[in-house]
Amino acid sequence: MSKEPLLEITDLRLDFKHTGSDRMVEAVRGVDLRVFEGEILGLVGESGSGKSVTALSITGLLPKTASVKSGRIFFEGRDLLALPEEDLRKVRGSRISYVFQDPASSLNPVFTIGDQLMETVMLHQNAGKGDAFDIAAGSLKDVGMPSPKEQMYAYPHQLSGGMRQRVMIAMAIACRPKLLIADEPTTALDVTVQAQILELLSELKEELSLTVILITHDLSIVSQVAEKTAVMQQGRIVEYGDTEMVYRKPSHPYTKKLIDCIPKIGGR
Amino acid sequence: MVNYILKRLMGMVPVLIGITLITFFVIHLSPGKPTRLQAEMSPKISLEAREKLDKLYGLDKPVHIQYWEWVKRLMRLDLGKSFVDERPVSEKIGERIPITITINVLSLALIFLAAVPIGITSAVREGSAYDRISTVFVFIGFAMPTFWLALLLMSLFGVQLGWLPISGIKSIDFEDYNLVEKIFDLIRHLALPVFVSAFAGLAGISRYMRTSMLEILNKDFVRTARAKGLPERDVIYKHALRNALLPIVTIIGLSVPGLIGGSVIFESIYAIPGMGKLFYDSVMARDYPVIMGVLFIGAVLTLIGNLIADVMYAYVDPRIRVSGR
Amino acid sequence: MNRLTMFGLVVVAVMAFAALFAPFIVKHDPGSIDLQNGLMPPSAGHIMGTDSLGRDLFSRMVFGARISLSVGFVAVGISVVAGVLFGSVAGYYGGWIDSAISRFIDIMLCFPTFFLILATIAVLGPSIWNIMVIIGLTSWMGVARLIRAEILSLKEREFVEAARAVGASDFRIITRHLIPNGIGPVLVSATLGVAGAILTESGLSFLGLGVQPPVPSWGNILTEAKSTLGIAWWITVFPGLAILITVLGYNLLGEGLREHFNPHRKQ
Repeated sequence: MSKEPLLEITDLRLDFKHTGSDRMVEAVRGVDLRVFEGEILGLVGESGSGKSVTALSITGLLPKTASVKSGRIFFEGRDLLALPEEDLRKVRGSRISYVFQDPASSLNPVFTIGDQLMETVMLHQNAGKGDAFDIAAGSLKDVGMPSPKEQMYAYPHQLSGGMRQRVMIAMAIACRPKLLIADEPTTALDVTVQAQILELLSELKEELSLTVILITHDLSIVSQVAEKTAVMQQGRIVEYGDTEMVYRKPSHPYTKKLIDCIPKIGGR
Repeated sequence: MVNYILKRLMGMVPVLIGITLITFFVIHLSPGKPTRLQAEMSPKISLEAREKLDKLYGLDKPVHIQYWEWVKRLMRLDLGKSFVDERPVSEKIGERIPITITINVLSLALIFLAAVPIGITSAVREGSAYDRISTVFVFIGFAMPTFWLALLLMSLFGVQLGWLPISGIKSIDFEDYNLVEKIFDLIRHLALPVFVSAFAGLAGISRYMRTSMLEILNKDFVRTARAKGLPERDVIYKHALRNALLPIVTIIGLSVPGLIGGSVIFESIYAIPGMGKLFYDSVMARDYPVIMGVLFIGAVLTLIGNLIADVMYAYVDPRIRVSGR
Repeated sequence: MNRLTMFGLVVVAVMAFAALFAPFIVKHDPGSIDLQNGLMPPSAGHIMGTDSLGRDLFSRMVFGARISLSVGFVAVGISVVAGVLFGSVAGYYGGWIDSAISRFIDIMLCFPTFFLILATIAVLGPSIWNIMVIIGLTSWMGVARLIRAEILSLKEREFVEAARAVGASDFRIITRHLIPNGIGPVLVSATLGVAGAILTESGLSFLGLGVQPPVPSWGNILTEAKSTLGIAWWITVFPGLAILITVLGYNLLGEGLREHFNPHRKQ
């Protein structure tokens, strides 16, 4: 059964201006990627491999130091790279949303989490304040936040790391996007909390028919939740396939190296 | 919050004591008694009269007793009597403070209203022509001798163009004006002093605002705001700005001593009857009780300014205002 | 080195040259009075005109450079010495010494600097040496805080442990190891401090409480400008411009040094 992919990246090339000089460094050198509806795709690679930049380029969130040289990103019938800024803005947060690595710095410290949640809702769903409050509180409930209505008035610094990440996820799903891109969502968290967040992501995928791109440097995380895996090295995709297959029979030496690095207890 | 304020107030006490010590120390640095120098200015005073003065001001007693006497009087808000006209120092200062404070408050307002937008725009358009030009102005602002600026403006607006008055705070027939004319008259008289007073602060604050904003624009939560699909206008003026403004509150509080000190110059040039001019006149006349009084009050005003700035910051930053659970 | 820093360096060098070689640069004696030629506009004989007493403005300006720069340097020298002293002791020994010194710094910072300086001059009388010392002793606080911060952060590093293990005395550790590492920011502070001292000195001299006439200082030449405001533009313009450009030069140089010691944290 072949479906059309939900997101298709074709031959993406990105340049980065190297700090301190005017040299351009190729960060992404021809990436092809397909994400199908309803799956979790794990995008794995070391830092510097270009995975975060690839993800950011999907909705045009690149920093000023980076620029797209060529490529196409098809989503819902349109090439996102060719879209004008105002149309891209409508996609951000409502069709495609993000969860970033460090919830402590990714949430605005001077606004309550309720304000930050309601902001997305009022923006994309044309809701009034009252409705937005309910929808936002509902999202908090969806992500397993205790006493969601009270927590709406909390400030980010009053919450623990795990709870903050739940808020980030709530913010990302509040407008029921089709695609959720999670960039190292568990890296900044304690190990025990990591498992909870991954479980949450899986549950939400089922409940809300989400598609997820899970970006991480940790292959073991991917093996737990992702159906498909793509391995990225130095700006290129070097391996792609069902997670089971990639694990059992990695074709690329780099993938083999990554697998070997996973600490195993009693073998796999 | 209340706790925070109380703690700060308690912390102010030793500083106040220190201020009295230093004020006293500075005045009594002179090799001779203050009255001797005073007497030198008017040599007709006989030895007897000088001794009477000494007794009157308690200068015949040992230094630490003098200090203690002075502090005791301070606590009763008695700053002594002026050497020059025997009027109570507190009265002389009291009639000057409102003017100086008015000018300084207006200066602060001008600084805030002008410097903040300039700084923000410079940051948002980093590297552009606007940014470079405003940087040049900032550097010139830092290097400008305020008294020279005062003179130039006086020459341009007062003498050559005749648009603005160059001395005092009201015209001669002020009393005959109606309310609107009075207000307008005041504005015309205060325009140059307020501008000169604010000038250096403008440069500093706009620079600081630019730095603060640049730092904030690089933060992760700004990226999150964009990722949510917010229009750039909201990202900058709602999410980034609120954070960038936080330290400005403290910085503005820290510029209070600079503003007060700077008032000496423009008040003298523009003949404004404020605390700065009083200080200058008393320095020229070696009127020590007034000098001590103004020095002390100036430091206290700074202390209060800092306290207000800190309290406002604690209020504005939720991380301090609302304690973590 | 970018162009602005270069400009600063050039200005500083030119002013230093003027100050050092003043007697050889000027044609007229800065003190020679010539009442017949008072308040003459710039001409071939007097390229910056004359003041009300007929003295050549250009020569007074060049000698004024000498005064302003010497006050700047000596005052900053004093403030750096005092600042390094207090700051390093506070940072190194910590505890109640640090609290006491820091409290002292806080108290000093409560006084509007100009007020403090004027009050002290009122007591001790205006003279070049007095203002040098007074400006120095009222501006050491910034340097002290800088050095204290540097030492606090360096104190725990290994090379200090190593030095102590070898038996080095506190004094040696502070002077040989810790201070040299903190030199960068102090140099920046000193350069900017010269700019500030020049501004302060000219302000004081303008008010009549700094360098006393007939010794020329850019500030006290401007005192005369007040009374000749509409009549002799050259008396107002040249000294003020000199102050502006010199201070600007030191500021730009200072900023350049700051970039050098602390390369811009852009990403």
